[in-house]
Amino acid sequence: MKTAYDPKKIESKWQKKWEKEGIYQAEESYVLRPTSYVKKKKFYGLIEFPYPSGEGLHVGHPRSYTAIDIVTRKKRMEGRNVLYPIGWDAFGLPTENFAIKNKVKPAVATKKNIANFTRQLKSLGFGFDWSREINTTDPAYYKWTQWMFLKFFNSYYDEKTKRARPLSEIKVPPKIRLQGKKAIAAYLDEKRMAYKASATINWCPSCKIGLANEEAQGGVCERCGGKVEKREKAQWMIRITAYADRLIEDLDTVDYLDRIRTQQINWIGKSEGASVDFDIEGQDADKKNLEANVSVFTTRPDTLFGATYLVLSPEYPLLDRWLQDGVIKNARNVQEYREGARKKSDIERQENKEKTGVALDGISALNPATGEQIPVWVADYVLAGYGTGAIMAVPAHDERDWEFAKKHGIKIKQVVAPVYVDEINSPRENKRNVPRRSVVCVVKHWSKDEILCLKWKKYDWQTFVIGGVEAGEDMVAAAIREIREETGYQHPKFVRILGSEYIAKYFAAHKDENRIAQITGLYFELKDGVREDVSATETAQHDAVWVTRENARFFVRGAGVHELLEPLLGGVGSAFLDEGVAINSDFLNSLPTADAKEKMIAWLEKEKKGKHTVNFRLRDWVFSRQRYWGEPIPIIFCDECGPVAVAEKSLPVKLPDVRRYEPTDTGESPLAKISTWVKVKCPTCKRSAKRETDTMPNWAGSSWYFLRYCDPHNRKEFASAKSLKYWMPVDLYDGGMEHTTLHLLYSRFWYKFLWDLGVIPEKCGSEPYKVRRSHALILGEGGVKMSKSKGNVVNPDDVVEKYGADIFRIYEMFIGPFDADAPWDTHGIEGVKRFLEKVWRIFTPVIPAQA
Amino acid sequence: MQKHKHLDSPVKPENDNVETLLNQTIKKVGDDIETLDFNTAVSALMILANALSECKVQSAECAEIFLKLLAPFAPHIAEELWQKLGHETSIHVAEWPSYDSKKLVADTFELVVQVNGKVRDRLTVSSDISEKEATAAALASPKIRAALDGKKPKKVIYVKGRLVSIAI
Repeated sequence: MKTAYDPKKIESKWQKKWEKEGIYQAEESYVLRPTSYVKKKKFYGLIEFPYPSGEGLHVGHPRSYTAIDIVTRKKRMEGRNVLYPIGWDAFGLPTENFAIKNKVKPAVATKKNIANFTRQLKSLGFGFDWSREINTTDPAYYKWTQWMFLKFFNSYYDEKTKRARPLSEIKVPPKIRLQGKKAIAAYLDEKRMAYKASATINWCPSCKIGLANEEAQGGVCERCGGKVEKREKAQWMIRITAYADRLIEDLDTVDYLDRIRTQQINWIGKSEGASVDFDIEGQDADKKNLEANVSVFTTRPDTLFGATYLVLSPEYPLLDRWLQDGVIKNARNVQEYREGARKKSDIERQENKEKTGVALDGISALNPATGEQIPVWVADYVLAGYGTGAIMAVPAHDERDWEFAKKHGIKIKQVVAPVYVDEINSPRENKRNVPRRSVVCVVKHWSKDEILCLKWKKYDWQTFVIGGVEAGEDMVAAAIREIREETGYQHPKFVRILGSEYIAKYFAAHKDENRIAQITGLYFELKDGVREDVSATETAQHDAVWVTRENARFFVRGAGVHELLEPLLGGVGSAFLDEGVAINSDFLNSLPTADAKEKMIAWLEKEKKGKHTVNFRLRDWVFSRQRYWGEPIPIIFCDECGPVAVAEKSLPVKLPDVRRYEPTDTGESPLAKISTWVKVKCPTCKRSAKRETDTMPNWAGSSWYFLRYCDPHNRKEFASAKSLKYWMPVDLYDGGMEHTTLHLLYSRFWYKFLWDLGVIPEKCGSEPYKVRRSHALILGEGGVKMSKSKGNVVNPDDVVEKYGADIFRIYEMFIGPFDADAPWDTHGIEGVKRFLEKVWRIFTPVIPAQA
Repeated sequence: MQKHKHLDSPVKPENDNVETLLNQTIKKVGDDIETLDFNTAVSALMILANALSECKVQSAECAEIFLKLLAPFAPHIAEELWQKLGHETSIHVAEWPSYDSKKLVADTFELVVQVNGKVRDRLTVSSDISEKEATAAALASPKIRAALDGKKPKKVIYVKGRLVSIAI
């Protein structure tokens, strides 16, 4: 008689037995053995530790946890010493909001949620090492989070060695030292890796919290989806930008999915270029010398000769000064414009089709290359956060600048010409390369809508009227000469220049040479049909033919001729964005773009008008939050001593028990209201002082938790060097794609900083995770996202109750490729049930009848 | 209907095909776990389970290997069945199976022999048999000689790994 497969009879029993025997616990003995011993090789598998919400486990969690459970179980069976740890990322808004709403303490709610989550995780049979469980809200844990913040506070970034170092190692310049204690303190404060500064934060009015740019992408709060506003606030910042280059470069040393790599690189947004200084002049004689300049960052220094105006973002600081000093004549318009811009989000400003702006009346800028005065505009399509908050506008070569210039009637000057290589008459090797200035004349009939073209006889060419321009010769005059000589028509009237200048490279068979022709298109209309005979040499080469305007594009051939056809057929033209050859640029003329960039940068540096600069999109990390349920920032403000670090022996600065958690409308943390907690003695001078009431963002605890798992009970250090050397780096890390530019970037930075200081041993390497992968979502039945409002949420407890853990696990692994979203399907899970029932039948030995 | 021999005398897999599939599955599941291709690993386990369910006798080797491959995915049922097979230590610290790379391809296959389009015999031959040897084996078969009835074959077609087709 056989027994049937009954998960309830076997699962709980084995879970208890495994826990009792500790079979999933990492073997600590190998960590402590001297290196002379043969060590068991380790394998460190990691999942993003969960936020213990009141809702409990979501079916999406086990997709990640089961996956890494499978890998680590295999590694254990292959003889590795496996670490697969679990813990709780328990600080943050959801618990605090729950506490406010339900009038329970966040710590109490957290404890209850953790107990529920634990039950759920254990019921799924994951091989976690529960003996290493950590909790970010445990003072024994956040003591070290605060300790690390103080490391940031007391360190600076040494640009020479490209490492963070303790502030005590810094060499204060003699002239600062001469100025005394306060000057030295100010100098040091400027260098700290953690510093307080006025920052534009994204304020979410419904969560009442300030968000970093990463948390407010798209102009919406990533927690509640509501629109965020820009506000200025004094915030703690951490100098992540010092690590921008290393965060990009070291991606080459790890195995991340391509799309994860790309997202990080794009978020950091490195661009190489130059900063250029524009002197500002007042237009009135008495205000001429303003002693001001505007520095811009540009990735196209080669186009400086084409910078026909300057644009300042509405937030540009000097505007305040000029408005105050009465330098700007249209002050009211400018102020109104600035107010309007403050209300818009960055996204709205960038997507704005209207291209609004106000020209500053009373001010102009000096283009350092041309020496010409150019207007200065204020426009919100320039963001304060990019580069210097000001740009040099080159409308001929930038789309937004082009649209703005067209709208507001600003001069457009072409300084880069595209290069076209003729495919039919390609330049030939071993022939002379002759540069030439040419005109292409597009000549219209006096009464019909037809264009005069040339059909060549000896060669298979069909062209407009073309000809060379002699040195010093006027282009229009040269063109008229060519029209008369080649076609005989006597009365062409010049209308306008057609299209942009371009370079054509081709083989001129009739002269047996390669030509590099810089071509300008000129549009003429014949006044009448008065025509004289054309010379024999000309008629031997070509015939003049009339072609309708529409057919011109089929008739005329030649590299680059589309540049003329487009405007001829009614095109409005556009900015030329690509690389080409410099034109109308004095000492840069005829240089290819890359060379022109270099030469301009060299010239700027020589003239002291600018220099080579690298720019990053990444901004320093806004680290302050004005909420209760987070790690207190361990700083004390003393009127005498300024911001002072809490002494290490006084850590942790514990979160006090509070009765109410609501943030204030002025945006201060609820801790600010607890005067007994806030009042404290300054650690340095013992005078009366105040604690910092801002708390850390929820990212703080998760930036280093994977280090704590290595040595979770250590009271003296966040982790011993021995344990870090044995366990780090993480061998396989699975997490959500939504954390790519947040947790993943923050934690890599945090790790590199600690590694620079040596508190993470050098041997561990500069990257925390060898391999990073990402799981996809489990959707509701039918493929729609699971959500409470849709009522299609599948509760893991129900699934385990009905099918047991094994069927649930196999189903989630079988549901589809790991990196593809997959809908929940009840039929699918029944199929897995049949599979395990079959397995049970195949391998259950027959029980003898007499037993 | 399924009997299990007593498992203190290990027995090899029932036939070549099962042994090949077993080795292939060990490789597939192992490789797939490394590349996080869990869905195809589960497929492979299902295919192996189906094949094993057709075996008249379960070998100890098959049972142990299958359960060890299943263990990371379904730890409870794997542990339970492992213990029922007589083990006293956990399957989760047992040694992960390794495959024999020579056994990834079956040693033999079934060669079908047709005469004038009708299947007249099936021969078990070695996987690396040559066309010449296959044709010779086909023609030597008693059933085929009977079907040929003294006539000389007009045309012989060989499909590698599958069949010999004789037209008379």
